[in-house]
Amino acid sequence: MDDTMVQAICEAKQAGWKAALVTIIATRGSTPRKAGARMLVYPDGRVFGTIGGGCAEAEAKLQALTALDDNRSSIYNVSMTGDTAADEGMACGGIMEVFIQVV
Amino acid sequence: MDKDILFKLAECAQQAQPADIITLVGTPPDKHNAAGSTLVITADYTGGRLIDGAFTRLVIDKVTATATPWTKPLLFEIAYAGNRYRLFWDKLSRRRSALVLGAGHISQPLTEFLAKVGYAVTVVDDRPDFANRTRFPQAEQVVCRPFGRALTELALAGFGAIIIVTRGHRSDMECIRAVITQPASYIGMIGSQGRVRGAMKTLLEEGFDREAVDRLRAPIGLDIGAETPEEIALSIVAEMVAVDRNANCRPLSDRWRYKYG
Repeated sequence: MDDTMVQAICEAKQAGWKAALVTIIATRGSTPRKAGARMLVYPDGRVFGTIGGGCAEAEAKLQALTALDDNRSSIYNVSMTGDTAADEGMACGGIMEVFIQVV
Repeated sequence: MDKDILFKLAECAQQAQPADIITLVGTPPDKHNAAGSTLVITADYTGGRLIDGAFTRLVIDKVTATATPWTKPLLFEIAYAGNRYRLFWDKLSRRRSALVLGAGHISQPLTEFLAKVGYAVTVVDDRPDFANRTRFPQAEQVVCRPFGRALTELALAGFGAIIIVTRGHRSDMECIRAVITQPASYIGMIGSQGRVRGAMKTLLEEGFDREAVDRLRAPIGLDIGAETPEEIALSIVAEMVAVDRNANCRPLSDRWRYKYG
């Protein structure tokens, strides 16, 4: 986790906000970013950092907002394989396992 | 994440101290509230608690054991009291930082591109008309000082990359002498083949060892036929990213041709 992300989480906390830290914890096949990449999702939908962008990131972001509502941290799989993914442009062909952590 | 742990991490980040960050990511269903618990371990501090004292101890032993050195962020499993737990082990890292020596026409697009890919950039030049915020809005820091003084005042060891693009041979040499022994993973100098060869020869004659001189990437950048300042900046940044990611700089399509050609 890099120092700018620590800073961003600290600032959110000091402002009294809950935020969801999305971390790639494992990847299989072809994915743009690897384990350790992170993004912070704020309750208003803003994002700091990137886990690769595109539809996969958008899907993870949506899931992070749900996690914030439920106040529950959990693992989530983002698949960039299969017909739906290809239709939506998530054509990398890999699978990302992300951990969504309410911080 | 616990407030104390977070502030400890922020403190470590500020002081460039190493820290291990271990997060409980996978738990049995009846323990799902513990998912997201985090442990932070530094040289003189351990904060956080995972499940219970005994489990926390088990995890600390695992990550501090010399038999399991950390090379990159990774998942591991621990069996405890009949359950399996998954943990993610990461370390605190610093934002990539670059020192650009010289604030001329290459430095501008270079700083812009570096900032875009996430580098904190420090630009140095002795000319006020060049080293100023107006020309480098994306730089983290612009230092307008004689190179010699700037080089002694800046914490050179903190830069992951150092690029020498000053306006002339004399400043170049002054900069190289100061930075060549720094731990930066990327040290590069712009210049024609002839000028670079001359500089290398001078350094060896001055007693710098071969190994140190060989670390200097000069002429700088990847061979993409760059001509304009922007193209040259692009070729430098591409090389820096490749070094940072330990990549080989070959076209990705080469592999495809080899496979199917």
